Formats: sequence, C-alpha cells, structure tokens
Amino acid sequence: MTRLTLRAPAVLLALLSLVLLQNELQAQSKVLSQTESVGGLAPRSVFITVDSASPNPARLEALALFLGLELEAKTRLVQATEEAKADIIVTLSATAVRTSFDLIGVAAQRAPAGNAAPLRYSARVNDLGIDQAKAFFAEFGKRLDAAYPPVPAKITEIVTERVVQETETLIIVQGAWLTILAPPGTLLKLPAGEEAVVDDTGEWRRELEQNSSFGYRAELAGHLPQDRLVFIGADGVIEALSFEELDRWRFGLDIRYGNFVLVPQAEWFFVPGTFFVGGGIESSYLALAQSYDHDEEKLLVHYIDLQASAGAYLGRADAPLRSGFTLGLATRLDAGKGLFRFADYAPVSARAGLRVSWDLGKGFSAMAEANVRLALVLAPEGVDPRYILVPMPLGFPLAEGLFYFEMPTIFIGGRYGL
Amino acid sequence: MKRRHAALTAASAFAAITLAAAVLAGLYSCNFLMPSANYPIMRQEKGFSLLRVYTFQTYEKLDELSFGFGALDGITSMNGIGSPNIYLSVRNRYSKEGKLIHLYGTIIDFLDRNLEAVPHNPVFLDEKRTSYDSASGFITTDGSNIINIENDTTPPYILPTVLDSISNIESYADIISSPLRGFSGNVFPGTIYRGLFDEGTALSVQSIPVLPSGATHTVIARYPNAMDTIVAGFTRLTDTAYPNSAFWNPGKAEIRRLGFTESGSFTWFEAVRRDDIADDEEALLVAMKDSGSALTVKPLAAAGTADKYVLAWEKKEAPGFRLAVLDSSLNAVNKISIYGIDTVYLGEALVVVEGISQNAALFATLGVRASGSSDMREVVISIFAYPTAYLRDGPP
Repeated sequence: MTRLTLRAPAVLLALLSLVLLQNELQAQSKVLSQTESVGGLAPRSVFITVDSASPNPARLEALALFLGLELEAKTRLVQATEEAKADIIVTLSATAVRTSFDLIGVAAQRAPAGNAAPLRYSARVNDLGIDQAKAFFAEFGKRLDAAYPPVPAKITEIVTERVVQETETLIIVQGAWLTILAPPGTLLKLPAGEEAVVDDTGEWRRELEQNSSFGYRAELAGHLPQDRLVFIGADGVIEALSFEELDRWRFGLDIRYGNFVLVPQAEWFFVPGTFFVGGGIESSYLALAQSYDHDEEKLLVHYIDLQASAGAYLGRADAPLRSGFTLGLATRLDAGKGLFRFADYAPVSARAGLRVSWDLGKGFSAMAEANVRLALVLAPEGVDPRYILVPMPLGFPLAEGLFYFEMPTIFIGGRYGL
Repeated sequence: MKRRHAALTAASAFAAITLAAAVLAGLYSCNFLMPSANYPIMRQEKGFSLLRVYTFQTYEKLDELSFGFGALDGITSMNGIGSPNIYLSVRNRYSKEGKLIHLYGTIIDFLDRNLEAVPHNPVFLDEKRTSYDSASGFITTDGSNIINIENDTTPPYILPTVLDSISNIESYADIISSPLRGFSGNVFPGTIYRGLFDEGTALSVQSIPVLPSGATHTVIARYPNAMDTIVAGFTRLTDTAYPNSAFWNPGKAEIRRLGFTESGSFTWFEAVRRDDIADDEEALLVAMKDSGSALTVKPLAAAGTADKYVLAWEKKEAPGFRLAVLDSSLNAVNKISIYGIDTVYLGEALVVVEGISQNAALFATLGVRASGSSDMREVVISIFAYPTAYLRDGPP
C-alpha cells in the first residue's frame, strides 16, 4: 500500500504524458483539407523481380539492377521500391538452351484491367553477363516504354496538420467508359471467361482503364460472331455492333470420283452456321469422264443417286476452317433407254460422312468430305448379290449380301452461301 | 546424350513411316471411281425366273455386243426337264457373222460353221427364218431346202440335214407350184408344219404334216388380195417413194419370219421391204386368222409365238426391251419388259418354274463382265423364263 502511495504520482505523470502524446500525434495527422483535380500524365512505376527458379538467379539479380537503371535512364517509367506500390511487375527469368541462355522478361500490370496481355520479350544471350544483356535491356526497355505510357492521373491533395506541413500526392488511374450498342440478346464473351448479355435497352457499359485495350467476342444467334479489340482512350468508346447474317442456304457442286462426277448440292441451315439439311443428285449422266471400261463407248445404264442428308458443323461459325459431319439417306435409280426404275444396287442406302470446310470469303467456301455407305442390294433371284455389279465398289457384303458396306469415297466441293 | 538423340530420331522416323503407311492404306481402301451400273445379270420384272447362266471368256472386244438369233431345240423344249437346249449366236460390232453357240445343261459349245465334213460347206444358215423342229435341233432354210440344224459334239460343229427341198414342198401345194414364201415348224399339239404360199393375188396358209412332202397340203385359210393389203401397209418404202422400182420384189414384199399358234388359231409373219443402199428397212407384222377372215397388218417386228399369242418388239434397244403380247387381231393384251445389253426371244418351252412344270416363254439376255484393267472379258448369257400363264394378265 505504502509502495503504491509513493509511486502513484510518477505513474499518473506517465499516463498523462501518454495522453498528451496521443493528442499531439492525432493533431499531426489531422486532415485539414482535401482537394481533387485532374493532373497531367503520370509515369508508371515498375517493380523488377527475378524468377528464382531460373538458372543462376544471383546473376539475374545483378542484371535486374541494371535493367532498373536502363528503365530509369531511357524510358518514361519509374522504378518502385515496393511491389505493392508498383503499377507494373517485371519478372526477369532465363532458360538454358544448350550453351547459351534465353533471357526472358515478362511485364504485367499488378492489377490487370481489361484483357491486356502480359508483355513478353526474350532474346538469346551467350552468357548472363551485363555486356551480353545490353541489347536485351535496350529493346525490352523500348517495348515497356511503348506498352506502358504515362497515364492521365487524378491528383488528390490532402493537407494534414503536421509539425511540418507536407503535401502527399496520390495517383489514381483514371477510368473511361466502354459502351457497346448491340441487338438485345447479344452474348458478350469478356476476358477471363466472363459473359454478359445485352439486355432490352440494347446497351452494355463498363468502366475500363484509360489507354488500355479491351478484347471481347460478340455472338448473336443466326449471325456471324465478331471478335472485337477496342482501344480505350480518354473519352471512352462507343461500339455500335452490326451483325452480318449467317447463310441460310448454300448451293454448290461436288466433284466426286476419278470420273469427275458433278453433283449439284443444296443445303439449308435450320440453325445458321451449325445444323443443316441438304440434298444432292449424283449421277453418271453428270460425269465428265464417263467410262472406265475401254470397251464401252458410253454407258448403257446410268445411275441417279438422290441423296438427302442432315449434318452439323462443329466449332465457331466464323472459324476459317471448320469440321463437320453428315448423315443421310439415298435412293438410287437406274436409267437408260427403256429403263427407269429403282437400282438393283443401292435402291436404298444410308450414308455417313466427315467433312472439312474452308471459308474462302465473299460467301464462298471449299470443302472435302469422306463418305461411307451401307447399301441395300436387290439381286435377281439366283444371282449372288456380292457380285451383281462389275466392278463392285470397294467394300464388303453384310447379311449374306443383302447389304453392302462401301469403303469411303473422298470428294471435294464448293459452296456459295445466300 | 547422343544416344538419346538418336533414339528420338528413330522413333520420329518410325512414327512418320507408320503415319504415311496408314494414310496410304486408307487411301488404297477408298473408292475413287464412280459406282458402276454394269449388271452382268439384270433384275427382271416380276414373273421372270432365271433358269440358267452361261458364261464364256473372250479376248474380243465387247462393244455393241448383240445376239444374232436364238432357237430352241425341239426335243428338250417339250421334256419339261430344266432349261432346254438352246442355239444362238453372239456378235460384236466387228464380226460379220455371230459366234454360233450351243447351250445345253451347264455346257457351252462353240459350233464351227465351215467344217469340211459337213455337206454344205460353208453352211448357209438363214438366221431370220428359224423355227421349231419336232426332232433335235431347229429348222431353217439354206435358200433351196428346209434344213434341220443341230450340233455334232466331237468336235462341236453345225450338222445340217435337209428335210425337204422347197421345190418339192411347192409341188404339193394346193395350187401346184405356188411359191413357198414362209415356213415354220411346231412342237405343240396340232399341225407340225405350216407354209405360206403365194398364189398370185392371194396368199394361202397350208398345213404340212410331214417332211419330205408326199401329199397335197391342206389349206387352212386363203386370203384374196392379201399382198396388196400388206403392201398398202408400208408407209416409208412405198412404190410412190421408189417409182419404177422392183428391188423388193418378187411379191412386192419379202416374207421373212413365219410362225403360228394352234391354240390361238392364227398364223403370223413378217413382211419386209428393204433399201440396201440406204440401209433402211420397213417391217410389218401380219396376222392371218385360221378362220379366214380379214388379215391384220401392223408396223411391228415379231419376236415369236408364245401360247396363243405372238410377241412383238415394241422397243428393241438396250437396256430396256419391251414386248407386246398380241392376240390374233394383233391387239396388245399385255406388255412385258426385259433388260440386258441385248435380248432374244428363244421360243416357248415346257420348263419347271417356281416348282411347277409349265409352259413358259424363254428369253436369253446378254451381259458382260469386262473391266478396263484386263484384256480378258467375260460374256454372260442368262436364260429367263416367263410363264405363258402370265402373258395376258401378268403375274399374280
């Protein structure tokens, strides 16, 4: 108790001092005024780091110092001392390639906006030395300077009460609006897997960083999709999208077999760009080289193959190269003088094919298809159905010759879309 | 390091070779030629039954392959056992005379026309005037005789036998020495032979029971002014178009083929005018009823007798041939189509069709198994039967 009494004034004095000090400190950090204004261009800050998994990371650390000097001296970039305060993170790495190295620099925004891809530059050097890396520093610096120019900055001035009044400048990157005007229902595929749909107002907006690029894909059912890349300037961008309708009809010709049989084709896309039904007429009447038998000046019996099919193209409708498949039925007629009836071979057949189509532009496309057929055989009674034709197509009989499986035929064709 | 590199290179090369082999194998198994529509044996219409198929191989070219004539052997046509023996000829565009073929059982024999051993050397065989003989073989004419043709087997050759001279037949005509203009045999019940005699303005059909003739023939029917009626039927090769011409005489028209049906009670024949220079021919089919009423003339080419009808070619062009089934007034009661590179009507025979022994009209059709990759070609002769019961109303 006595001890407490003796020591009480000193303790109270200490507590009082702490309170006063606290008050003093609060008074120093008190904001007296805060004003905001749009300033000029602010340089980007760069923090350089080294990939520790690279060979000889110690030498890379040394190179990173020289890269920093290069950037300070020859670019509009400034070097940040802390990664958390940097706008751009540059990672320096190297990979050994036989007796030399690939020196690699990758620059990425610390808080990426839009879909700006990381800047990557690499160069082969004999050794991880300063002299050998000079050219790399120069070129990489140039590219960084071009990729990350100074940005308009909003300057906030905060005046605080301090013993020595000082002004702190905070640089906040300015935004700009991207406005997309598109038909309602347009699907926007944004960076990082994000998707958005244009609503009934026909407008979609997003604030994005100025002086940046933004890539997206716009898709509208029945129309040609668009891959767009826009540059976001200081005033923002308004994108008014107009879509080109996908073809509903495609007409064309196939050229089949070594006899150059011309096969007229029509295809109707009930799901534009993807699913279609079609028909064609394949006939020996339309063969440019009719006979493969030197005894025959002309064929006595011609075949007319009426083919109906349905199919689908896979992948993106605007891809220049697309694959697809077809399934179909066909009926074959034999025709000649005094003869017009269902053919003995393949009066009914099922067909299946795989195709590849190349978009040639202006509505034209070229395609190649491989097609197999399962044909019904109507042989005269007493005749082996496996040999009713001379020559039989390459293939093999099934169900004791009632059916015949034809090996693939490969043909090419062209289409024009309407 | 080097070893690893070498191993990788070898593996890459192996993969490339495997891929190339797979691609080549894939391409090799693809069809690169358009589908053929060459059926060596074509499917026929309902009612036709395939009796037999004969094939022979040849190095000769097969373009414009066709039959010359077809005839049935008399004996085997009526025995009802399998397919009767058949005589026919096959030719291509380069052959003047057809290859004479005898088909019997499963055997195909090529008959020599010019064998030294035979009496008629070379044998003249009128392929347009063939008909049944009640014996083996068939009958035709060599110009001055009615002859029987059959094969002799060792070696195979034509064996002609004179049955009667035409002059002898004419000497027993109802009006003696009337020119014999047509002649036909029969294996069915009734008259064995019938002849068509030119009596000046009239034509008469007379029955001849046996050859050689030894008694006056019996007149079945006589048709006054018949030839004038027939000549009036020509539309293209007319006397007006060819003034002062007599090159198709004697008799104003050539009587080429003749046949008759006892059950149908009529005789038919082909009257032909031909312009050899222009290679033009006009044929008329003439039917004479046994009742002696007016004859009927129509611009058709006869195929032959079947049951109580005569079959006539409405269309004789490959691959679809069409026959009309004509009654005694040459009215079409039905039509039959038959398909092939060529077809020939062989005649009527008793055969087993659909398990039943029945009379049927027999046809031979031609097909080929030739490919451009081989010099060897195969000719396919198919024998089809069409029951005479289907002639009028078609198959059930």
